[in-house]
Amino acid sequence: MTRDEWKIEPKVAVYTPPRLSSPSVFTWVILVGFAAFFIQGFLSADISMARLTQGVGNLGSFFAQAWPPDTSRLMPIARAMLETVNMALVGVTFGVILSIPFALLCSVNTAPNLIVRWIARMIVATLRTIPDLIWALIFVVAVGLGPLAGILAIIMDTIGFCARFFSERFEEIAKGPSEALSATGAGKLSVIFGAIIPEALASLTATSLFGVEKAIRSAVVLGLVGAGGIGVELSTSMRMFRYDQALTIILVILVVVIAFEQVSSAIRKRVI
Amino acid sequence: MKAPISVAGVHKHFGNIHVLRGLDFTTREGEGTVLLGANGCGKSTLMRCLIGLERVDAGTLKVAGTPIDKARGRLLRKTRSRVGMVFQRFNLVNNVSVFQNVLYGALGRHPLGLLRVAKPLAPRSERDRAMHCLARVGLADKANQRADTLSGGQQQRVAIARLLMQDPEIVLADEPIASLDPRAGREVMELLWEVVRERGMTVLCTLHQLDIALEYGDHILGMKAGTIQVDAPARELTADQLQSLYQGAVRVDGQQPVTRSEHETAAPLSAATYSSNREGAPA
Ligand SMILES: Nc1ncnc2c1ncn2[C@@H]1O[C@H](COP(=O)(O)OP(=O)(O)O)[C@@H](O)[C@H]1O
Ligand SMILES: [Mg+2]
Repeated sequence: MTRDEWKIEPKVAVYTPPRLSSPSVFTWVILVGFAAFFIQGFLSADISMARLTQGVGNLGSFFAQAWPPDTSRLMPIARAMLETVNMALVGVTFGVILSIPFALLCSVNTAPNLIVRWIARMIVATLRTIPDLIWALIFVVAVGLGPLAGILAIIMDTIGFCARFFSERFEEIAKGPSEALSATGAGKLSVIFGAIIPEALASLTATSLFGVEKAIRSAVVLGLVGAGGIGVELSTSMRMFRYDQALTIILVILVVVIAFEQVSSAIRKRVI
Repeated sequence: MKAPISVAGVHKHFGNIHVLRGLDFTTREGEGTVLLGANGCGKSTLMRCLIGLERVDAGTLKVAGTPIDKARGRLLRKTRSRVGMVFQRFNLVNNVSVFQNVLYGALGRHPLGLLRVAKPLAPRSERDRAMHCLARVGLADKANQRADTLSGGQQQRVAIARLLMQDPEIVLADEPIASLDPRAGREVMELLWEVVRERGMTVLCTLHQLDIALEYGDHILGMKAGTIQVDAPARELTADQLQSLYQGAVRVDGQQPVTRSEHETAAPLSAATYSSNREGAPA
């Protein structure tokens, strides 16, 4: 076998890709823009050695005061944690149920027409863009302090998240089975509930479980603005400098959130 | 006697591909008509137009007495319920049981749709009928299994059970055996033809295999590049007369199946082009 055997003609050689290709103009613009924001942000954070050492010192004294965790209020803390979990589950359940009609109205293959689809997309995008803490602030004004405001905030947040992913799933589903049902003379609703939703079900379940994990995490912080649950306890302890109680609360949150994520990912593995 | 399917002057474009280029034909009641043509000549597009899944640009399509190209809403659904379709890719709903898939065949009969056809809600008569249809295709024991756990041949048989459940007057079968290995393909073709004969249905079946077309068809429509080139009873045709359907410009999109004239060993572009070459144009 000689080298000549694999020789290429000049007219083929011109197509050989270069070893390195230079990035496109678009890539350059993005890179330069990113670098500008990064440098500006870094400078404006006013990072100095003195502030960093001071921060480490403060953190040390926080832990010194927090340790050992004070478990005397464990019962009320557990009750608040239970309220948090309840808020998350109730909110996410209603959120997921409402996400299905929203997602159907958002998807090309299930929306009745373009205008409805456009409006539904705008609503879902709005729900998603507004952060959960802001929803909680709004609902605290609307329905007062307590878990109801938290539940409503989680419903909004879940629709923003789930409706979007549900509708992406509906759109990428193979169209064969729905066409087969249409071809038997089935109506649109029968096609949706007979073919599109069953085909998407595994993925809908997985997304909903992500929704549950997300809801638990947001339910924890919603209390910080008075929307019920363990966040209320945490902000009280922090404000009263009872760091030992705060640490107990943080540990309880840690255990519960991790437990939920474990259960949820175990279920997810089974459905996919 | 009215023709179950009649097509006149039909044109259809996808973007700038002229797929159907002026089709005219009719089928006769109770007959098995085979629409034969190489891959890419527009067969599936025609079938989809005949059930209203695609709209034509010009011409008329009459199916079961209804101008399906103009039908909308209730009339379209009513007509579709009288026309059954078998697909190349089976098109069962994967995440539900075989039994439920067969029950779906009854959707067109019930104005309440899924509320009368979903497994927990279906009336006794429909449940029994679905089991009868499954038994007819020899898969009663698989009723409770998920559709996607079955082999291709079995899935197509479930699709035939769904068809039987629907009990239409007209059957459109689009390459019902093209996704199956030869043996399973034969079995499915036999079963489909038996079922169609038993129920006295009229069938229009597309195929790209010449030998099978001549074996099963009462009447042959030969299609090439979006036009009908042959329209004759099968017994009057020989394989040689149909060879031309596979030669020259057969596709509507201008791509050419690779021919083996230049290099004896040139690789075929795809399995699909290869099979139509092999069956259609021996070197
Ligand atoms: N939905 C579609 N959009 C664009 N082009 C299509 C579509 N369906 C079919 N075509 C084109 O129409 C041509 C004929 O396809 P088809 O009817 O499937 O042929 P056949 O079934 O005879 O193999 C192909 O070239 C294909 O690319
Ligand atoms: Mg085809």
